[in-house]
Amino acid sequence: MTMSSSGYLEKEPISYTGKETGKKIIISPADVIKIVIRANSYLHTLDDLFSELNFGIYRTLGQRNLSGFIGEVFASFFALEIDGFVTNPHADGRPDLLDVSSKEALEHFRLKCFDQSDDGVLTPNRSYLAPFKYGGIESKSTIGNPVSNYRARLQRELGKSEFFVGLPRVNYLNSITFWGHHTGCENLIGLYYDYCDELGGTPQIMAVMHAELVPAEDWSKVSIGKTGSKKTSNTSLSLSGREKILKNPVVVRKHPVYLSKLRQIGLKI
Amino acid sequence: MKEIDRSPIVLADGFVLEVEFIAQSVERVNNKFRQLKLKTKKMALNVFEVIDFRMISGLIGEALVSDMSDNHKGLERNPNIDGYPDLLNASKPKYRLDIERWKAGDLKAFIKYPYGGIEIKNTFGTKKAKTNLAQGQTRLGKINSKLDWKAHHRYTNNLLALFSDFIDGCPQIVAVMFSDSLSESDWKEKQNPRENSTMTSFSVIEQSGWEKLRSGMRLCRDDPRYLSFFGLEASR
Repeated sequence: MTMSSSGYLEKEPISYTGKETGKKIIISPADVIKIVIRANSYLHTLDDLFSELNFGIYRTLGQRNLSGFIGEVFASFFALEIDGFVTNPHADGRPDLLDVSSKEALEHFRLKCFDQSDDGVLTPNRSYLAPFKYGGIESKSTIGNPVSNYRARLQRELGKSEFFVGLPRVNYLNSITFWGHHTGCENLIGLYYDYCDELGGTPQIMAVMHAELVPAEDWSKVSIGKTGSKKTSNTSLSLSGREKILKNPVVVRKHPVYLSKLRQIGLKI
Repeated sequence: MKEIDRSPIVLADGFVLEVEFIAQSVERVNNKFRQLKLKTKKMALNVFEVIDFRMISGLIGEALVSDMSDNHKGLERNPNIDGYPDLLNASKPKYRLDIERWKAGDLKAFIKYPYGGIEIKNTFGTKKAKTNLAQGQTRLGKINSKLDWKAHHRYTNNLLALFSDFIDGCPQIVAVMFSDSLSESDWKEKQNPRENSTMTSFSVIEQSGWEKLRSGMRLCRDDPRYLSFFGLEASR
C-alpha cells in the first residue's frame, strides 16, 4: 500500500526564474506530493506486473540503473501533473523536464525540436534538445552513500556481506549527493529513495529536494574515462552544491526513521 | 506468427522441440508484453517508454525462457544466472535427478550444463549509422540488414535467436531462428571491457553465424514488411 498525501511533510516550493523568458516558476509542495504518490504507486504496481512474468524488474535493472529509472518515472509524472512542462524527448537530451510554459518556448519546442523522417515519423533533434534553449529542470535520484563501516554492520546485524536490491538502507545512510555526466545542470530536483520493507522491497521516493546551482561552483570537476574506455564522464555535487540542495527540502515522507536520519545527515526539515 | 519452416529442433540426444510449441510460447510472451503496455498505459505511463532499451531486450529473452520452461516438462530454466544454456534439457530422468542434486549443492554445474539445451538471445537489430530513433519507435527500415546477437561465450550454439521490434510502442518478437551448427568461428573475438568497467565481455555474431541462423528461420510475423526484411513472400 503506497502513502496518501498525509504521509508526506510539505516544506518549501520549487521556485526559480525561467531561462531566457525571466518568468518566475513556482510549484507547490502539495503538487509535488501528488507526483510522488503517483510515481510511488507506479513503482509498486510495476513490481507486481513484472512478477507475473517471473521477472524481478528492480533486481534486473540493478542498483546502477535504478536511480536513473526512478528519475525518469518521476519526471514523466511531473510532466503529466504540472502544466507547462514536457519530458525531454531525446534520450541524451538535457534538461530532463523542458519548461515550455511560455508561448515562445512552446513554439520553439514544437517547430524546431523534431525532424520528420521519410516515413512521416517525428524524431527528436539532439541539437535543439541537448541542451534546450529555454531550460527546465533536471531530475536526479539517489539512494544515498552509506557509512564507511556498513559492510561490517550488515554482517553483524543481518548476516549479509553486501547491500542488495530490495534491502532498505536508511539505517546505513551517511550522506546524499547527486551525480551527473556534465556540470551544465543549473536547476535540480533531487530525489532520495529507499527500498520499502512493507511493499516487498519496492523502491519508493522518500524525499524531494530542489536547488538552483551555479555550474562552475556547485559541481565537482568532471572525471573522464581513459581513452578507449567505455566509462562515461561523471561529476557529483560539490560541497556548496550539497549544502544548497539539503537546505531546500520540498517534500519528505512522514516516517520517524526517515525524518530522524535525514535530519541527522543535514536535510533542513 | 507464420511458420516458415516446420522442422523441429532436435538436440544431440534426440530431444525434440516442435515449432508449434515455440510459436505458442512466442504468442503468449507477445501477449504478456501487450498487457504490460496496456496496464502501465492505464497508469498514464507506458513502461516501455521509460525503461532502459537494453534491458527490454534481456527481458524478452527472460520472458520466453520462463514461458517455455513453465510449459514444457522437458525444459528447465537454468538456475544459475551465469549459466549456459538458458533452457536445460531435462527430458530424461537421469538429467532431472542430476539437476535436483546440483541445485541442492553445486550451482557451478550449471555454468556449462553437461546435457545441453537451448540458449535464447534477442536482438532489436543494430541502428543504421546517422539514423535517429526515438524510444519505442518501430525500428524496421532503420536497422542494418544483418542482425547482431551478442553472447558471453564463443561456444554458444543451439541458439534460438529472436528478433524483436516495437509495434505500436510495444516490444514484440517478430522472428525466431535456430541453429545447431554454430562454432567459435561464427562469433567475433570477445570484446573485453577495461578495468573498472561494469560492462561484461561479449562476442557478436559473425556474418557466417548470421547466415546459419537466417537459413534456420522457423517463425516470422505474418506481415509483409517483416517477411520482406528476410527476403520472404507474404501469405496470399
